[in-house]
Amino acid sequence: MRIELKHLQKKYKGGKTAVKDISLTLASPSLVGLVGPNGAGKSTLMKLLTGNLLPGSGEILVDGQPLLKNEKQFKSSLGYLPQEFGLFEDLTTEEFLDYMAALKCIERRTAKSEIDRVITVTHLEDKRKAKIRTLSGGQKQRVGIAQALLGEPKLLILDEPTAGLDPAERVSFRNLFAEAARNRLIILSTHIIEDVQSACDMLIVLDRGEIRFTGTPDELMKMKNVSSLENAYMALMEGRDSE
Amino acid sequence: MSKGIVFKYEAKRLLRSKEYLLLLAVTLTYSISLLRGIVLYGVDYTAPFSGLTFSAYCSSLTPFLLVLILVLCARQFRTSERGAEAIISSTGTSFQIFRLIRCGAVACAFLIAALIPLAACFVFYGLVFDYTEFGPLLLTGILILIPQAVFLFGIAMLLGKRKSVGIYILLSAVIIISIFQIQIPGLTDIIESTPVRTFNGAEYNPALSTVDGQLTFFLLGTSLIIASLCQSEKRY
Amino acid sequence: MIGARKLSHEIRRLLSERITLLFMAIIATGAVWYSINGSGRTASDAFIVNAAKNSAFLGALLFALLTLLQFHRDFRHNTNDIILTSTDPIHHQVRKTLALICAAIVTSLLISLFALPYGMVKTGSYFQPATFLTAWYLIFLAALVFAVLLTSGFYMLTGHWETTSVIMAGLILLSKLLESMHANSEYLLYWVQTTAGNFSDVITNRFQIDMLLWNRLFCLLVSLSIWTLGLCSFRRCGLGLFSSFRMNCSRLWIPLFLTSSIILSGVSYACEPIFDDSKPIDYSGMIKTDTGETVITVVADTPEVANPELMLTEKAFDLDVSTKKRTLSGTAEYRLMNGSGKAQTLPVQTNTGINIDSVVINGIEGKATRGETGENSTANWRIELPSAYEYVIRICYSGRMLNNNTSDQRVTYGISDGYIWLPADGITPHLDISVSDECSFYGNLLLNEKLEPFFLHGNTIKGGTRNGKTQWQYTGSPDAMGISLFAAEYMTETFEAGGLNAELKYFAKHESSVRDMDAANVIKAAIDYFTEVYGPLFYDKHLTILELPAYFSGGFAGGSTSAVDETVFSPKGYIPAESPHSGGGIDVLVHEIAHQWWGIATMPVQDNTSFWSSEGITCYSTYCFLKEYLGEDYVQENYINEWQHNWEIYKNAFYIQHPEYLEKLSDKDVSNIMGSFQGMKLYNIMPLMMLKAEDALGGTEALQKKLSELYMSHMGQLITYDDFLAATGLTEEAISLE
Repeated sequence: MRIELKHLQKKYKGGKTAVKDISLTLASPSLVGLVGPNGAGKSTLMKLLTGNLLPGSGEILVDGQPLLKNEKQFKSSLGYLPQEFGLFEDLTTEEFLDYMAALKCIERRTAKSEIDRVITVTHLEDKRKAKIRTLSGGQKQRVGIAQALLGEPKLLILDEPTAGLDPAERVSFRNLFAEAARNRLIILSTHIIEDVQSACDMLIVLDRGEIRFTGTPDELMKMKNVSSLENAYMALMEGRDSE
Repeated sequence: MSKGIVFKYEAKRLLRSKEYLLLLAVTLTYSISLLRGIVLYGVDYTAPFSGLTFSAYCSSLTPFLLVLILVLCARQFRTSERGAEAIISSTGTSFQIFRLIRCGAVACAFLIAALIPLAACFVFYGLVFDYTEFGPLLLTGILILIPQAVFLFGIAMLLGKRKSVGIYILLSAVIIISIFQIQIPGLTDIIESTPVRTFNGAEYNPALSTVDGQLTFFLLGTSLIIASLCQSEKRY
Repeated sequence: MIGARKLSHEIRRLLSERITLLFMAIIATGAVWYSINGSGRTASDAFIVNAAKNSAFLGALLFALLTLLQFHRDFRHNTNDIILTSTDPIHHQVRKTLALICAAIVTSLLISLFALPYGMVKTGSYFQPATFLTAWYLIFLAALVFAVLLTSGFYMLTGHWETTSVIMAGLILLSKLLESMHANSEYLLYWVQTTAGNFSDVITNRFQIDMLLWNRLFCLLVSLSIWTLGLCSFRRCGLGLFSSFRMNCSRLWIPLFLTSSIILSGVSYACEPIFDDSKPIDYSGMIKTDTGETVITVVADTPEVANPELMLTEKAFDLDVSTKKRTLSGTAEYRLMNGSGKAQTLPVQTNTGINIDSVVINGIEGKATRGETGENSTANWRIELPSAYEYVIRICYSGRMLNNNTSDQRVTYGISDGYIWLPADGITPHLDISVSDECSFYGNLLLNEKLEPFFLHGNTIKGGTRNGKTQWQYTGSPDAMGISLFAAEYMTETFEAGGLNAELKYFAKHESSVRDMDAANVIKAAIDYFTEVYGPLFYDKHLTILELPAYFSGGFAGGSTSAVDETVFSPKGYIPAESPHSGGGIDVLVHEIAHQWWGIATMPVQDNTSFWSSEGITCYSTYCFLKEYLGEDYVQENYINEWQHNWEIYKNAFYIQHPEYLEKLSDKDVSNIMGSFQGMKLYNIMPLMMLKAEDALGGTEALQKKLSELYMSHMGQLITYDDFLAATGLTEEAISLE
């Protein structure tokens, strides 16, 4: 899969420009990390990529075709976890995943095994029959990740996927995403630098709707002449402040 | 999308919800008290199974059923439901189809809630009076119970998309008008505040204007529902 | 001070919220709407009380909702943890409750800005400040306060808004549903709208207000109990119900408050001071239906006395009624003959509120023992009499009237500064023994000087003053034992009618209405007419038409008195009537007068098969008089058309046409269904049958001649349907409407 963003711009009502003239090419297999401060435009960019928002100008091409023209086909190979989402609290974990599997048009005969797989992968075995309202915040986050993984989507867009997870779980999911990225495109937006440090093969730093950096984490560290990605990121942001 | 599975879950969620079960229980309890009261005695001294008595029975149930359908609509637009839509919108499912399935589930839940008291009444007629000619009565029941519900359903679906608090205002209005028996004139009487009846001996002969009115509600309501489905999801 | 500041802050916050202002606006709009569209039997009801009662429902519902929103707010917005670490959780709940109660007070004051001038203008000279304050503060405001306390209590107790909303909806609905239940229901349970109604325009509503005060006291105590229970149960520190309860009870004032509220609730229920524990009336021989109608089917023969061996030869009393303390005290002296000379048990009956303080028998102290309470607020006592042929018994008694608990909980008897109504056994203890034909009955009554007494039988003469009160001397006759005493500020018009000395006694405030209606002349004309047509009333030289307060609702005829409630004297169209066919005006007046002939002087007896009763012939008589007095058009519209309409309904009624379906129903349902036809049969169909009898006999005069013969030959006796047919010479088929 290849996604091209060409001069993408998004301005909200009230005049705030969330995304300013972004041009990018993303191709699978890849784990793309998207970082930036609050209000940088990360979530807006994610929503533009899922087709849930329409750009003000510019276009998004998926495998050479405009996204909106083949929206249905595009979404059939998309797994999306938004930053803020809700679940059906009155269903059990298994029921909710079954529901999502139906919405994703996963065939009945493979749906059960697929549900079993994502439950295992997200360590929700003991919460399979529990009502979602009884789950903790972190467990609900895992349910969100699980539904995104249903159907082995070719494109995974994850907005703050590790929010609410404990450090051990974060490591586990980091590894999971890294593994999954071997044969698909994953775009992962996060505040937590460690999430992108080890596994990402491409790092995009977004700030005030503009791309400040595109490249590998190592390239950023080299550019800023520091040994840790966090320091490199901070240096990049400080440079912004001093401009 | 496996529409059947989605419908199954939507219906299950509605039918198992506390609000639905509670309102169903209240409606059923009230219907039983009506059967023991106005139905047994007969309205205007007509037979318990006269069209007039049966239509008064249905009219009395209307506010409860309208409250039920508005509550079910309000559920669709709760914050948690909207939150889930953030995920659902990223699937390949057409949102119109998804909404249609949800509407279908609401309609199904409503019909069950409407049919149960009707069935209870028919059983009552059969057991107590050996009366079994339910065909015309069923048509009467449909004429009274369905059109207003469809109309309010349509308004609620449109309101919910814009301002979900509008559904609660509509709900409060229905409750207040029902409890305080505020008479609403003629064709605007969507909650049967003035029971519609034309007494002609023991038969219920709804005036043509009444039938027209009900038909208008039904058609308007259907149009509103279709309009709410057809509106594309705003993607600012 | 900090607490007061926090409270005032909470109040300001609440009153500045849009939802609060919206709810207050809706309630105020509803109150205005109800005021303008009110109806009732009196002006006070139509323009003040009923509006307040209906608004109380709306207010209770919306304030319950508002309370729920306020209490659930912290949970909904996830600010629980922040707020409850910044302030004491218990004080926070108390502040919220007090703020909501303040909002309720503000709502009432707001509504008063309209309701007070509106009520004053519409009721005019009948406006009573006590009625207004009772309606909008005791009924309406209290309902809002209870809604706040109950909702917050249940919410804190259950922790769930859904459960609380269901409970509150159920409680509000219950208060409404109780109205439609005709079974005896406790007035204390009507926590929203109360059972207030039929407020008088012309005399004090003290009795009604007493009931409301006690109702509100009970409801307040119960609400406080539930609220405090909720406060005790308020979940804290992640604890469950019982652990939180234990924790909260460590603040001593909370469990103390809870315990006292619960105890006081129970005490207020048990010690309710207005109604007694009368036995339910034995309705064998009568039909009492759940439709609320009590229909007498058999007039019982004069019951035997409990001890026929004793005979009363003289009775005297000295009664002091204190309108200030609302009690009475008195002494009664009895002279008895004992034919056998053996020891006897003297059965004594008093009102259930009266206590016998001392008994002296032939100069020696005796003892009265109270037994079981009987029907109709009768307390049964026993006094053991030694062997003797004659007794002089002196009984000292005192107390406060109680009312019959089993009769729809309506206050009939009582003492207030503006009105007094005492039953016979409230005036003096009644001895359930034989009474000599020569028995003398006299006494002295001390009464507030502005009140004038009226006894249903006998004469009173005004004496001097004693202890700042007016003394009245009473003389009666043996059959005056079963009298009642009424006292109010009466105006009296006397006139001669039908060979009797008639008088119309009405409340002073009603003077202009009575004069406008020319009531005295109407009554005179009616008495003259019935005397001419049927014959004279025989049992007394006097006839009194007495005005009763609106709360009595209707009228009665007893002895030489026909009593009607005050709504009879309301000008037509002045008060928006609850129904276009609601009675009132001269129709009811004439009807009650006609009952003197058919019901008192003679007793037409109802049976289970025909439509015959005193009502049918009285309705017919009323029709005859009004045909002459107001014209054919009037009676055609208000009587004949009405009767015919009801006949059509009756004959086409399903259960009348298909009585076989009644076999499938329970006895109670059958009784209720057939009972619902009683009014039609007695008040509409029988008069129509009498019109047919008219036609059969050749006109009104011909029938009236027959009725006159029937009357004259049955004075003081029962008249059966067969007697009527025999007197008219007609058969049942001849006058049947089929």
